[in-house]
Amino acid sequence: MERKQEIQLLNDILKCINKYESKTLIDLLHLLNEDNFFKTITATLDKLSLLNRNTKKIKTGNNNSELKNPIKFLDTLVEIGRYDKEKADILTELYYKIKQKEILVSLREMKNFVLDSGLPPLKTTSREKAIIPFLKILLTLNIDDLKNKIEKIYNNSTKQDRSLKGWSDIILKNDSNE
Amino acid sequence: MAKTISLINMKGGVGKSTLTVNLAWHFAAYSQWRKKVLVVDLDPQFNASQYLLGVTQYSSMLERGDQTVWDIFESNTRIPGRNVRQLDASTLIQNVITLKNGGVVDLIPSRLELAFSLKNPGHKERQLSKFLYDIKDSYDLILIDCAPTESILTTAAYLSSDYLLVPVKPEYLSSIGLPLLVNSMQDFRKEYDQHNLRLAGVVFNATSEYSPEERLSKNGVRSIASQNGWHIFKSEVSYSRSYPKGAREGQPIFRTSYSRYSQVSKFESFAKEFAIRISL
Repeated sequence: MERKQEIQLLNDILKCINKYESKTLIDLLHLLNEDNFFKTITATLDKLSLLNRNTKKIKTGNNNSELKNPIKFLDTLVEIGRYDKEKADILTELYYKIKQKEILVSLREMKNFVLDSGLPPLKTTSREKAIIPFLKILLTLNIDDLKNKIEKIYNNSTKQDRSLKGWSDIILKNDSNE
Repeated sequence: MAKTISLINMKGGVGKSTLTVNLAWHFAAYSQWRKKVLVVDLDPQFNASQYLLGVTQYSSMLERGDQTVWDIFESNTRIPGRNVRQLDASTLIQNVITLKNGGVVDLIPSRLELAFSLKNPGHKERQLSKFLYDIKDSYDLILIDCAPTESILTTAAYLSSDYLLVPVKPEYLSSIGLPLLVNSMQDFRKEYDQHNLRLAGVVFNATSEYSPEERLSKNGVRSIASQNGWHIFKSEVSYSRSYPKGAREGQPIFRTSYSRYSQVSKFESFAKEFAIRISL
């Protein structure tokens, strides 16, 4: 039985070699001989399998009930916290900050951020409904990407002073320095 | 190498800064363009800088002692007891946004002190073109937002530009800015006949399409344009409350909250026509 599967695999490999040509095979063999290759690929596969498990868990939940009851989403974050505490903490904090309108105060701002960051677009039409889908998108990022994006959100929120008073202070301070 | 365009009119309040910023965002953000755009704020009133940076970023920039367009003009000025200040592109050029799609909007900000350069204009008119020449390969498009008065800054803008774009608000007083520009360009061409400065065209800005007064002004502008062989863009940028709102939010019209699709679409039509005109 196992032999049969091995022969099938060999057959598939030969088809692939035919498709990608022998030069690609030689390049791959060189790559496989590199020391770091297996470490990197194993780490990546580990992360992917974690991510898939995690995403499946979220997808199996009823989306509408999650929107009505974000506690379910927060429960998911608690679950994630068991193996990736840092990510879960970041996303939980982000959830509360968005919810309390400390950052990304409008749907437009949230959509703009998603667009600027090259993330999949948000299709919802209300800010409230966009929060969980937005966090779900962020959930799929690796920790470094996630930190990077979060930093941008916080930086953008500090850029928001566009008041007349702010400009007056700059202009009048300039004048008094002369 | 970047195409350099100065947005100019000898009348203030015709929407130069708003148009500059919106064009910059448009060409950087829209997926069919994804351009690297540099905005040069050449107006001591620094409206384009205010629009693009906001209070916090602008004041941090001043606190850090970052250079501004003023430093470009004063880079060769000798002050007793002080060395000539070297220009440093890394602190002079502020990145406003780098989009994931590859589009970039950078800014050379202005400041009130730029007005002081006008008081002592000697031999400064080529400083800007020299500086921009060195960084032109890093951009696809350079937009210069000009001040609405004839000065050393106007000559500097002309010397740095491949094209001029002239926004005209179809109102009586605004349209009088146009003959002043004709004079200014003629004077420039006499003095710098080796510089090939072309006029991309005149764009009617903040139009409403209904008023008879507007029609009269447009006819007057068309007549001057025709006498001088100037192109007038078919697409007009119509008035929308979303433009001032966008400036308050620090966003272009297509990202301003509740902006109407029809207004965004009119701007897109103009941007497209403009791009074809300058072969972007």
